[in-house]
Amino acid sequence: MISKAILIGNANVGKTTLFNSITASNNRTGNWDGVTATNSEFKYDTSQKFLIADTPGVFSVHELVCGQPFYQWILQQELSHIIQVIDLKNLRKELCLTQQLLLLSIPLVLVTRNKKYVEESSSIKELLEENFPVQVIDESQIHQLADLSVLPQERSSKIDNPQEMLAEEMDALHGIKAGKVGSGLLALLEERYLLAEKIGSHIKVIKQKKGLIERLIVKPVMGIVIFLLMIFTMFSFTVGVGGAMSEFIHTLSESFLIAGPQKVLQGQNEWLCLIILGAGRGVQLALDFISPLFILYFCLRAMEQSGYSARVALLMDRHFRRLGLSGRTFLPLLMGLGCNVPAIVATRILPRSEQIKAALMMPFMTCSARLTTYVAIIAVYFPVSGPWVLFFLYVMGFVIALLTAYIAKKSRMLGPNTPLVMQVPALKWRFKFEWLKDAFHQSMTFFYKLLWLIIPGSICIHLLLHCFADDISSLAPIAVAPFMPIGFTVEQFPAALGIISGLLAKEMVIATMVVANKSQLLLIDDPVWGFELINSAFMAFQAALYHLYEVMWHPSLSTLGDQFGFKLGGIFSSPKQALSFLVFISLYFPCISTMGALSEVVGSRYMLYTAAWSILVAYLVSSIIYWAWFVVPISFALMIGYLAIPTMLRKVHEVSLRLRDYFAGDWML
Amino acid sequence: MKQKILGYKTNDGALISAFIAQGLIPGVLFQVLDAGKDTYLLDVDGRQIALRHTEFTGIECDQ
Repeated sequence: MISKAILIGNANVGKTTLFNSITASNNRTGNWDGVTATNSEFKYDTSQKFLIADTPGVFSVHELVCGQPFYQWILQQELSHIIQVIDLKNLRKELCLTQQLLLLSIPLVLVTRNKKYVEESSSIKELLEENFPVQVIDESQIHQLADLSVLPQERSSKIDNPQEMLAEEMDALHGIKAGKVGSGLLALLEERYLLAEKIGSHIKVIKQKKGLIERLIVKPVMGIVIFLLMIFTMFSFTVGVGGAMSEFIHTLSESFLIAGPQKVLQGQNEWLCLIILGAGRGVQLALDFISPLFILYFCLRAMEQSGYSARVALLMDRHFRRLGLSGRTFLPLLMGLGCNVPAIVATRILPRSEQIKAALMMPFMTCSARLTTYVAIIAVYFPVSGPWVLFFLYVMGFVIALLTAYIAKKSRMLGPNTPLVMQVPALKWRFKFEWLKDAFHQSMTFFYKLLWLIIPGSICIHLLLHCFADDISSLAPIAVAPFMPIGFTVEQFPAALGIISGLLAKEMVIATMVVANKSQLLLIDDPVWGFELINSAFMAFQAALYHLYEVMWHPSLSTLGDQFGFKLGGIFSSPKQALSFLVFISLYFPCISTMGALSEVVGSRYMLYTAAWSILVAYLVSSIIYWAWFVVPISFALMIGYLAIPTMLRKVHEVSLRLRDYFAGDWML
Repeated sequence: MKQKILGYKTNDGALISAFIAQGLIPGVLFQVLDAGKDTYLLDVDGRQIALRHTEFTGIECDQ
């Protein structure tokens, strides 16, 4: 029978890192509590000898994981071993969980981490094995796990019915939730801690000094300024450096995916050409976005892994609490900048009322799929002010998300404020190669997802436009009609089609627009091949290096306009209309996957609220931007009127009273 | 200066559960690292725990 084990431990001890190394997986890791929100699937280790699953961080086996007490889930799995990951820096707290796990009567293996941060007065391995019926392995000897059957199969506890005992503890904890503090339970917790303290006193944690930066980033004003500066720099590099790298990839892909096949297919069947070159254009478009996304993912990864995100969460707490949220909500929201779906799942670490609010806010956090649309449109219509526009779009999304939380709080449907008692991870500023590796992995995952959507989409739209060009044009007035409030006319037909396709997936918006735009060229006039092709790739490499050198000094300089200009030029009549469109894309209806995640996590009722609210806000804000020349002066006049007219009326009234008195007195005289 | 947790001065069940979850249980020693305008930063056995002023008052200490 194959051995089956699970990894258990407190939050942020490095279970997923260990799981990835045992199973050669690439699951998401991070330097804050609650990166893993659900139990993972059982996977074989690299030697194919045992099955192992990763679990969310818990401080007690009574915590609810996926709606079920964690100990019940463990007992249902028929495990041969439990592997508890122990961070030696927090040994006392870890051992409180160990004592609970021993009650489960399943062989327990402890894997110790972070030995370099502690000084041992006696061997911690021997101490642990003396005090508990466990096997202790250091992280550096993880290969010993390869054959679990060699490890002791002895049951760690002789209790016959652990479930009953744990259920009693669970009842006592529920008693606490109902407002009764059971002294028996507190005494039990204290007893467990005292044993942990006895063992923990044999090691000393090497304290790290707090640097100036660490102190500054949590200061109320300076912290916010530093955070905004970091975000702006991140967008500048996404547009600038990402754009320069994209230019190189674009030229190469133009040669290999379009020019080469076009040369080979000359004189072949027209339909075959259309399908192959249509697919080539789709792949090329997906490749164009890899480098900006890589930069964005790398920056987000660096923020998460260094522990900076957790400090920003702490910083945000004072503002978030006014909205009935705690600073911890900020962490899933930041994850939402990558993709909304895992971020919505990650809200499971929050208390229920806070979870619902966070999930409702999530669709307004601009995900990387929307970034593809932003990057392309900004490159064409805002070549100089690109980073500012990008910054505005992200900030606007965040502000609308906060407004959503405020309305949810005012509606009083989501319960009282939740407490903030949060572990702050250590800051790790040192660059790690894993950040690049993770960013690359995330970019490639996005690329493959994009391919599945774009290749069939690109071929279909090319074929449709080829066969029914006139019929499709006649549909233009119907397609643009819903978007008339944001100034769309028949000219903006490609943008209207983009918005409609974005209902399925936001990645499709730009692909649809590029193909539907009449200026899109499927074929190259004079395709090069052979030596010329290699030469053109070399020239492209030179140009990209030069642009990279340029953007190092001017990070906001975008070079993406050249490659998107001919594809998207002429769709919008003015930058104002392009901005209004971008705002609409930023706020309207979340994609189908996000809706599915919302329905699963917070229920279909809240999912429908979100859909309706997002559409309403999208129309409202983008209309205001488009009609700004009209709306702003009128609003200003109304505001002035609202403030000034009562004062004026009061003055008129006073003057009339004085006049009446004057004339009355005069008359009396 | 290190302080010892003796119990809780609050009846808020959600708050006590949050304390227990973060290991702020009776018998634990802690030190206040930073008392900011809104939040306290505690050193609990080498871990840093952040909590609001209002929540901190829910902990009964020996000093």
